[in-house]
Amino acid sequence: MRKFKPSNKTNKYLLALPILLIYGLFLGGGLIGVAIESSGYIPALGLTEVGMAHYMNILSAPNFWSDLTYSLYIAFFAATISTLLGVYMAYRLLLSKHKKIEILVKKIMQMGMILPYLYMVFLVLILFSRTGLISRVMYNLGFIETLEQFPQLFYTPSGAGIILIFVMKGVPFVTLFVLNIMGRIGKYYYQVAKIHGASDFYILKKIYLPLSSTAIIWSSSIVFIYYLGAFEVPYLLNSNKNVNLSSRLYSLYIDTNISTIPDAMAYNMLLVIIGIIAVVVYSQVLKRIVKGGGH
Amino acid sequence: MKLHIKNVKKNFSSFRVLNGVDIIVEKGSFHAVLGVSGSGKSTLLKIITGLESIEGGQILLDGKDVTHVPTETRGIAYVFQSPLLFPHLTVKENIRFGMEVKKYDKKTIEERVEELLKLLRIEDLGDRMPSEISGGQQQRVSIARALATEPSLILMDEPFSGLDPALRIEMGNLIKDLQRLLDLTIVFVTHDINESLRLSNYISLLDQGEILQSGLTHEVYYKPQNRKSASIMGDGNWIKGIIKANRFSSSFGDVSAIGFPTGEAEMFLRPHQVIIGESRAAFKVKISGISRLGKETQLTVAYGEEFMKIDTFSNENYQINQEISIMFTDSNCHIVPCG
Ligand SMILES: Nc1ncnc2c1ncn2[C@@H]1O[C@H](COP(=O)(O)OP(=O)(O)OP(=O)(O)O)[C@@H](O)[C@H]1O
Ligand SMILES: [Mg+2]
Repeated sequence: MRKFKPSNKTNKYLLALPILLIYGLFLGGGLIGVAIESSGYIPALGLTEVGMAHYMNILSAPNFWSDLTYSLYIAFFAATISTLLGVYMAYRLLLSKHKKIEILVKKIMQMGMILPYLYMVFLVLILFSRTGLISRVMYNLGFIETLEQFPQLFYTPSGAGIILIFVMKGVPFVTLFVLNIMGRIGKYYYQVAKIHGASDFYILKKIYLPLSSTAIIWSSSIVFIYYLGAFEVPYLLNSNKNVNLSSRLYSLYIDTNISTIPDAMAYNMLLVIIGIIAVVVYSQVLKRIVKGGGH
Repeated sequence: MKLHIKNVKKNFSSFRVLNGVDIIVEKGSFHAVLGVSGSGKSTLLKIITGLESIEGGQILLDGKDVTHVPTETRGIAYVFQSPLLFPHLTVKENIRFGMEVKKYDKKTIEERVEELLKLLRIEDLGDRMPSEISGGQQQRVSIARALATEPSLILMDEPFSGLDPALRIEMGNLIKDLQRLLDLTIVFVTHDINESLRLSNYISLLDQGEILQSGLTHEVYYKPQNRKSASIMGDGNWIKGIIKANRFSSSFGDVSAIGFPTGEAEMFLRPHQVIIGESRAAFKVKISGISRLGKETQLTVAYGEEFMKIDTFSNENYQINQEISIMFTDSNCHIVPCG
């Protein structure tokens, strides 16, 4: 029997073809539909004037650029913190000598990963809001004199609460994703490097980061693009001042005025383009940082 | 560097792997630790490096207790059973690793890398990736990597077990030469009797977590303290007899046994110490078994109730039931009083 060779590129693409076709059909088809409508061509609504006017509407809206900056800010910080913590957790779990703790932590992470975002919002609100559990405990223990002294994390321009929730969902994802690869790399390289006098951090930087770079870049880019596009958490916890792009888009979507549909579609297209550019830049920068460790 | 392993005890949960191991490794010696699979050899080496903790005992380096010193500061080199080269680094980068950790200056690093490549005869491979060289070459790189920072103690865990026999011997000789040339102190773990005999000048026999015997390799080989020690290092003949008036007498005649107490005793001989040939002191025995191993032939001979094993390089065509004459010299005989 001939062995299947994954290095054979043609074969690999052939195997992926059915999936690619299905995704291509749905996504591509959808995207083309959106693109057409965003140009203003929706005969069903009596709109037939084609042009870039709707894009201009959006790009020239007073809050578009600040919304974009805010969205990138949230996605960047949430993804970066999730990646840093996630990679650190994966490395710690890999080196852990306590099997039971390791299993427990993994179980908690799996739960964290499957927990829906809305549940996480409630959980974090219960814990971290000014009238939440932690604030009350600190108040009762005398660490703070009034509940107002507890930092306001939600509905603030800093978006701290949103980032916190994204991090709590992102860390388990990155950890489990990266640990899967680190587990396959194994502990032996760690032992070899230890024998040569290297510190834990040095070993992470020079050995485990470069070796698991693909997993790190993938998982980090996935959470980044997800946070850039996610709307429900920011929608619930945005301040009045800053709104991220996807919440703005959602508001357009649910607008009862049907004449805003081409605007919404143009917005949609812009979000896709921005997302692709942002994630490409993000992953390239990350690649430099992670792979640079080896040299 | 002198290494003293002192009464080391190690458990894996409730299972005792090492039960009070004592070994002294002299500076500049090539010390083999011989034991069957599962006897605790790798565990012992990991304990010396600090990669495994212990339940009792001490590790002393030049008299200093390092039992609680972390691995990265012990300065011991360790060649693992498999090469474990960092797969994303070239051969040169792998060799550099320890020197970069210890912040050697660039020039020293470059010179040392070239020197080691030459020493291990892998000059042309410096810029290759580990996946682009053979297993034997990989193991040489890992040895170069271990030697780079001039460690005062080198541990080797069956480093050649993945190699074919010819390469294995070649690599062994290379290590032996390096050890003499650089005056290295090496602890070499193996389950291969021939390898331990060929390479080491000291040996410790590890059996079920205990050291049966330690000493100069040829002493331990020819003068085992008991049957177990003897059998770990290969076949042997134990001949029952009695010591009386400074002579040991058995069905194979008398040999001198000066200084031994009177009473029952046994005499030990490795099979190749028995000589086939005629002389006044020779005995007639009958061949009861033959196995030919290429250039070597193993005979089992019977003498009355007793059996004996003989190794010979003679290419004579021996037959079952053939009578031959055998003898041995006094100086070859190792006598162990019973009880
Ligand atoms: N991490 C571990 N947890 C539990 N038991 C272990 C562990 N490592 C080794 N052992 C057990 O300890 C004993 C000694 O193992 P060790 O690897 O030291 O043997 P070894 O002499 O090196 O064997 P080999 O020649 O096969 O390499 C074995 O019975 C093994 O099953
Ligand atoms: Mg072993």
